[in-house]
Amino acid sequence: MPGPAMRRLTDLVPSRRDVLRWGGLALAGTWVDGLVWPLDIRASGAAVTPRGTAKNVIFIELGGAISPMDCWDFKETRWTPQDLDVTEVSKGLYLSRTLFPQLSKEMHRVGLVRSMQAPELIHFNGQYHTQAGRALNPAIAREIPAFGSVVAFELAKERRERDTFPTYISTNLTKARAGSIGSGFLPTWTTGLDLDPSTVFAAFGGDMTGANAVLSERWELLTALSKINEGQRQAMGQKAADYQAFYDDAHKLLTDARWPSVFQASADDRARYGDDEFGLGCILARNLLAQQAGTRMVYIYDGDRWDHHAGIFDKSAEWNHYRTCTRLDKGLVSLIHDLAKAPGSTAGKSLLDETMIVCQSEFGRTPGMNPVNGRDHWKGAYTGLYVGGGIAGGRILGSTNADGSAVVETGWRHKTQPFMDNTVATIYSALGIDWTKVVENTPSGRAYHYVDTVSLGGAAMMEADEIGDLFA
Amino acid sequence: MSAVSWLRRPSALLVAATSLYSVTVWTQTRPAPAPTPHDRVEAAHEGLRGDDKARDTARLTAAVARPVDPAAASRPVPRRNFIDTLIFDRLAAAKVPHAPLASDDEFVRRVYLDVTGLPPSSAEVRAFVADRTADKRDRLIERLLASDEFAEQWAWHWGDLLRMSGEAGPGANAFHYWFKELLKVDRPYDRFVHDVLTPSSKVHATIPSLAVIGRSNQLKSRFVESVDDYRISNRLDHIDALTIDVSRVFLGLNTSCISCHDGEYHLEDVNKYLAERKRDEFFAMSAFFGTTRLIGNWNDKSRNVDRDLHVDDLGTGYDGGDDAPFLTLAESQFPRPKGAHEPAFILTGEKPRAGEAPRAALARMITAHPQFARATVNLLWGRLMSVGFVEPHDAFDMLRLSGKDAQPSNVELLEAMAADFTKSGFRLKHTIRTILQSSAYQLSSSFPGTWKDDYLPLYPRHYARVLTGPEVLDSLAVVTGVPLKFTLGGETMTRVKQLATPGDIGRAGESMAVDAMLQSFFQSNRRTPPQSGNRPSTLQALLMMKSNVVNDRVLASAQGTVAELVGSTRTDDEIIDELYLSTSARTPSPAERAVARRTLAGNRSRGTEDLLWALVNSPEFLVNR
Repeated sequence: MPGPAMRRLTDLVPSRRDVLRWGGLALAGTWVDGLVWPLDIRASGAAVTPRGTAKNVIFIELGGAISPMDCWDFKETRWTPQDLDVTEVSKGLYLSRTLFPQLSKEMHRVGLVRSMQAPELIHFNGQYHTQAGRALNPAIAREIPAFGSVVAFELAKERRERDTFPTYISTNLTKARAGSIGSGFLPTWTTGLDLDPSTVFAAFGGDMTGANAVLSERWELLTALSKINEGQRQAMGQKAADYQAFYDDAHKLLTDARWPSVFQASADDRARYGDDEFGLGCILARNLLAQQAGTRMVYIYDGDRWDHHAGIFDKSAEWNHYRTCTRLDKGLVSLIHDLAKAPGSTAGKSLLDETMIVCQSEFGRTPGMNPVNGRDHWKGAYTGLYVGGGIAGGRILGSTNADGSAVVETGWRHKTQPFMDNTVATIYSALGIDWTKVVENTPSGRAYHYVDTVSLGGAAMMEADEIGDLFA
Repeated sequence: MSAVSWLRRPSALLVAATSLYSVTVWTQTRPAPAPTPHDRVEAAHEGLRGDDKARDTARLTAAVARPVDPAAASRPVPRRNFIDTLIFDRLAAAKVPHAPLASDDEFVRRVYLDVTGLPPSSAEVRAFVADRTADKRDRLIERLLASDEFAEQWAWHWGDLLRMSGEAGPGANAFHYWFKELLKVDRPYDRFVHDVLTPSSKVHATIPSLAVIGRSNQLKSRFVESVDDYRISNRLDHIDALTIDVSRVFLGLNTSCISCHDGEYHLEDVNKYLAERKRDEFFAMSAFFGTTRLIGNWNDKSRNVDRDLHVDDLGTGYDGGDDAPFLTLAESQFPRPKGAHEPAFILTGEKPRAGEAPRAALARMITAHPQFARATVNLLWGRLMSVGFVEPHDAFDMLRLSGKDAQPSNVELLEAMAADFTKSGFRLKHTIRTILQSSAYQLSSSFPGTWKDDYLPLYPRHYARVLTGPEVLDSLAVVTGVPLKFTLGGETMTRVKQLATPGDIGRAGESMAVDAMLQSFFQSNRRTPPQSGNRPSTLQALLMMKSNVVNDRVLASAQGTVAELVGSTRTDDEIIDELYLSTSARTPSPAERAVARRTLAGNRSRGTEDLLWALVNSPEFLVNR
């Protein structure tokens, strides 16, 4: 990979031919949309070398916020239930075998960052921050892309002729509080395709013989009619003309035999991963990546299952901690196991070697229990979990005080704590993306930094850095 | 009519009778909807019998199919009002050619979609095209402006602008119905600004206009011991958010940037006016809401059971020290300096008069300032012409309103329209009508000759736009004859735009799939500002081709349009005409008809399904041209 000094603008912007591969037509830069094309992207001048250790990323958002001190940054307190079976799984790493029966055996593969900080305490703002990789700025929110769209934009130049799957796919974000953040100022072909695991297996994965015959019959008709009408469509203007390219891409995807094969889950799969939207989301992620058909980034949104304000260890509560953790344990560890067994794109490497899994919430939970035996929202410290794709297994960065309320060591080379923004920088780095890039010609005129440096009040600044110590 | 006298109306009193069940009462006592333009045209046609009806249909279809008059393109375009003078003079001066007037079929579909959010029925297209009277376009415009769908379409748009979501509590629902009534009677828009900014109430659900300031996330907390509770959300943050919305929608100003920092060193390249503004000036603007208090009806379990609010003006004022500086980025990164701020209008520095309530003063200052009219006509122009004079609508630079580097694409026209809007008594419908009646609006979207993007600010053609999410879903339901199904206030609703908020779509039945389609066409959930839509995407194509929302509706077994056509005595050609007219407002060309005939010849039922599917999957359907 060339160093920053050698890069020219032309290297940073996908060529028109590359762009045409997914969702294709580069929209003419027009004043109508405030769209700008080509984007004027430059490196910030900071000399960084993205690591390029991963081909793919799976991001799991535990919406509602998992409790760090009951899980990956365990603190024994007077509220700790007796049946958690907490064990020192490796030096200094205590984990409940009741909550994480399988993950407790896999921690040698896992990297933890225990010093994360969140600026927000409200789910909506926090979940927006997680999906966008930056805090909500209402002034320019409408032009801000999801970080998955930035990944799709950056990796467009690596798409091959045979790739038909969208680069960025998400599950359940349509149901998320912030919704599915669109592609912002980036072209619409970078938009994440959001799938609902509870319905897509039936929609795309059943016996498609009949449906495909119908689609092919209809597609033929649509094509015949649009050929006749082409002249008129061009005359209507760019908007109408652009649709053809988008339809062609959608049709290529729907008729690719690899696509329905993604929506297959055996009885064994369903038993191992869990037969609900989270387990099925993990199966989808595995299947999408195993096909190596163009998808590189999968964002799994695990509903608002973790917002344990009351009865966190009350086994009669519908979404108590026993249930949410063991459910996560099944899906996550099955994913780790299956990716470790699947061959990667490079000989001798597994798909897990080439895929970084990141599992994180929008913030942490209060160290003390509230009067109704729940934990509320906490921004001072929480934990991020990383597996695969170049992560050094068993590494634990950062540490917290006795009750987990505050960070003692940040665990990286900066005095300020890492934020979600730095998680995104780490993901970009793993994928070989220079996280210091800046887009100058946004519609608002405000520069878009891939990872922004912002003031934390006073002299403190959020560092626009990767969490480099996570890498092997 | 003030907010109070509006409340005296019988229907409103029913709402006022109870807070808890107000929404249900309101919706159930609504009068039955007036017949739509569709209904009336269909009824006239249905009055005919047997052969007469068939002959009538054939005659009208022949009118639509009549070849376009080739001379029409070279005929001079009439100048119908001051808009045309300012558009066509400028085109002539720039020596830029322009498109001819849109043909009747192009016009009828465009104006239906823009005004009502629905395409015209086949009968309406036939009747309109066959009509030989000179004033038929003006009469159609009037008919559509008087329809219930007009109110639905524009109430949804204002719901997007003012972010009417569940956060507005029960008020969002009432606001929706109230705003529709307001559009129907064309209540002066300056009065509307007073309506939404000034009221106080012990029970805010009784005053629909209170939904704008009565948001449940703007409550003053009762409990401060838990940092977790949304009710302790920083009051000043929410007041600032309200100020940003008010400035954005009513003044076309994006004040978000200066809510966190001075404009200097940040906004020089973005907005000259805002670059000169200080954060203190923003606080002074927010201070108009500083004494507003929102108090929830807490029960002993600290739940606001009915989500209702008490709204009054006995608050503590706007003091930067009255912060909970741990909730949002704005607070942790850009803490407000301590100190009280007195209300002062951002554009003039004007302060409330002695004894004047601050919110009333704000409403007075906003509506008295010329920027209010400018911002409003720019919104309407952008909506109907696809591109505003200033884009996006909240990007006005007050130091570039005229002169050599003027920001608006047509300063003279913007000012003339603002003056006309003011003179009309701030009537939205008046300005919408004036735009629709202009030849500038009625130009064809097909451009003769070579198009250059430099022509854009001159409007020499009509700009095609991608339909909005609600327009796509509602149009699908109408042309397939298979309604959508939602529940609002215990009543069944059949169109997205009949709902008060996107949240009313719910999760039942096909609602999740409907929601996914809406989002793919850039419908926001209204918690963030509206998204920039008007862009085609692969996701839209994928969902249009594959979603059950579409596929289930084109099946004969869905008992909609396809079943009705296939089960009728219509010939294949008549079915083909019917589908082209209802989806695309035109008859097929001979080549298209040949393809369609072959499709129906093999299997009439399946062929009709396929043809309807292909037509709604055509760009012609997804675009308003």
